[in-house]
Amino acid sequence: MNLAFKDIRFNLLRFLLTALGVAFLMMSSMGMVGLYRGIVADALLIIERIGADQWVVQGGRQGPFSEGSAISSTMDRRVEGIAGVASARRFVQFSQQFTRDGRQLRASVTGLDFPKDPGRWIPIVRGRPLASGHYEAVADMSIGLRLGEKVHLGQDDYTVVGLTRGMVDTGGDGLLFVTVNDAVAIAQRRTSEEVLLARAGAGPAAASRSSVPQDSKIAAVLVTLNPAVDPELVRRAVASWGDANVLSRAEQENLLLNQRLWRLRVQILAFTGVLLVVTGIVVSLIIYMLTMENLHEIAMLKLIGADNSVIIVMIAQQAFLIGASGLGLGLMLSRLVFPFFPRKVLILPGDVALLGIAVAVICAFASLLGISRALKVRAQEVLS
Amino acid sequence: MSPPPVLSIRDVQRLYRSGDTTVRALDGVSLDIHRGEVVGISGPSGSGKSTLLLIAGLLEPPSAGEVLIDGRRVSHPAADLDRLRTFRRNHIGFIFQKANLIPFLTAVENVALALEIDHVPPRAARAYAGALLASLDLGHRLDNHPSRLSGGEQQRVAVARALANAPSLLLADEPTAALDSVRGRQVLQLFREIARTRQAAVAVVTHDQRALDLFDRTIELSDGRTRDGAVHGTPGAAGTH
Ligand SMILES: Nc1ncnc2c1ncn2[C@@H]1O[C@H](COP(=O)(O)OP(=O)(O)OP(=O)(O)O)[C@@H](O)[C@H]1O
Ligand SMILES: [Mg+2]
Repeated sequence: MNLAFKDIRFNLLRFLLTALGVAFLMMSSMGMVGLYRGIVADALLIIERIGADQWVVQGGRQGPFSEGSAISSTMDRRVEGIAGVASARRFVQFSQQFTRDGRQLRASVTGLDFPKDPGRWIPIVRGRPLASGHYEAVADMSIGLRLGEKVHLGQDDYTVVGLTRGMVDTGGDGLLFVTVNDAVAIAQRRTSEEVLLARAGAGPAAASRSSVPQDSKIAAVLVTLNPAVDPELVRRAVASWGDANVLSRAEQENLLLNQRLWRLRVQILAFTGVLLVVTGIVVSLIIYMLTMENLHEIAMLKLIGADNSVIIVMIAQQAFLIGASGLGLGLMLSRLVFPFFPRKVLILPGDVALLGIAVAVICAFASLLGISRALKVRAQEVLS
Repeated sequence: MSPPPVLSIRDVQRLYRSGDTTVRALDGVSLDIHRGEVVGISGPSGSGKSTLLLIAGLLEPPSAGEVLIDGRRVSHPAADLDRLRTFRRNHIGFIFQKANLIPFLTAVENVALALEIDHVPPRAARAYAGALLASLDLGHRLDNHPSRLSGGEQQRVAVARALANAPSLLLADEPTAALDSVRGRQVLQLFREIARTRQAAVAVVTHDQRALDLFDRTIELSDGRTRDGAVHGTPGAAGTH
């Protein structure tokens, strides 16, 4: 007969509550790791999806994500002239706050070099990509905009023609894709006083013009290379201009993870470590306490002549049953709860497997504690 | 030649050291119990009755002297009692004031466990445990957990558990103390029955003066010694009625 199982069935409520407690600890550990994974994934999202081999940015800077970068909006033509460059797209991204129905919304306005790049790489879940050079936007659902709705940005109204899910920037703000020209216009939004002043100076024609001014700046030029070309040649060509810097995709990713997000990552990892240690201690204690509760029965088992293996199996099985149910339940809770969190929480199978191994080690350790205590119990303790 | 006594305690001493003082819980006790015999052990509190049962039951080693069970010298001051667990479960059954049943097992499981521990297959163990309980008038309580049983019923389950591996020696420490006098007497009568049908040797510690007629003889302890002239009855006398 399986003593561990009989005990659990008899004290089912206690077991379920214990497993639930362990499950919550597992869930927070998974959530912490998932938050870390989510932040890294969000940070790298645009760099990976946008599919550029190289980023041409402001000279002497490492923008546009790690620090600011402003280059001439005609830089793309110069880049296109370099041998080996298949295409050059202009890129701009900035945070924007706006109100809708009296509520403040945030978005990370991201420029697409329409019509060269209508944004077919963007995973649209509803609606369509940009089809016109002006006043259309593809918005991430996290911003809170609806399909077909008009939103006032800068001085113009933009229609949301497509929706994405999970497209966010490093800070977790949803991306709002518009054409580069529109993005630059939004960035150069003027206050109403400025508009009035401009109108007074240059007449109504100047005020109504919302196209990009000649001296407007963009953040970067995205370079796609011909397959056979040596990236180093393009890099040297750009460097020779003196006013621009080239970063490879790998360098961009490295900058984000190891410069911009370095502190946040270490912070989250440290917290995860603390949480795992706490989880380990608490789970060990729970299992140890359960063994303590059974000491009288264990002494009785010894008295009626049970071999140590009977006692060891009972304790170990109980420990692993609690660990396994806690892990399983924790995983279920995570799946249920984390989608409602404001930022991405990524639960990767590899991380779950590692957590499973950690739980197994914790259970083994706790069992050993309990077993060593149980084996010290003397049969005559039944009488006390 | 007659068979050796089931239990033979020879000049056993037991000292407990607590701080600077030494308590002589047992001070040179000798005792033989034969097959089919029910022996009562009485004496004032602290006279060493429980200590005697612990030593006879191989749960404590004596400080001096030796214990023989079925003619085999099993316990002495240097004995490693933990290695006698298998021997214990095959030769000795214990019953205490409290039934000490395992709360998460049903009556029949509590008894079957004692058999499974001795490597009886689960089905056979359960069947035999059920039959054993039925023979103790507990056939209708097999699947109840201990918390659902009365004190007397619990104690009878404990008796069944002690009997499961057909031990030749039954040791009972105040088994009736928690029961009313009618129930208590029933348990003691059960011991008589077991001694007769199974040819087991039974030692019962009891304070109950009214139960003395159910014993073949009674040993009275006082300050760790058997009191001179305190042996009542003769071997087998009570077993004949
Ligand atoms: N583990 C121990 N450590 C120290 N002293 C002990 C221990 N066990 C028993 N004693 C002492 O040995 C003596 C005999 O104890 P024992 O339990 O055998 O008495 P008893 O006859 O069973 O008493 P009671 O009728 O109250 O159960 C007592 O003085 C007791 O204090
Ligand atoms: Mg006692």
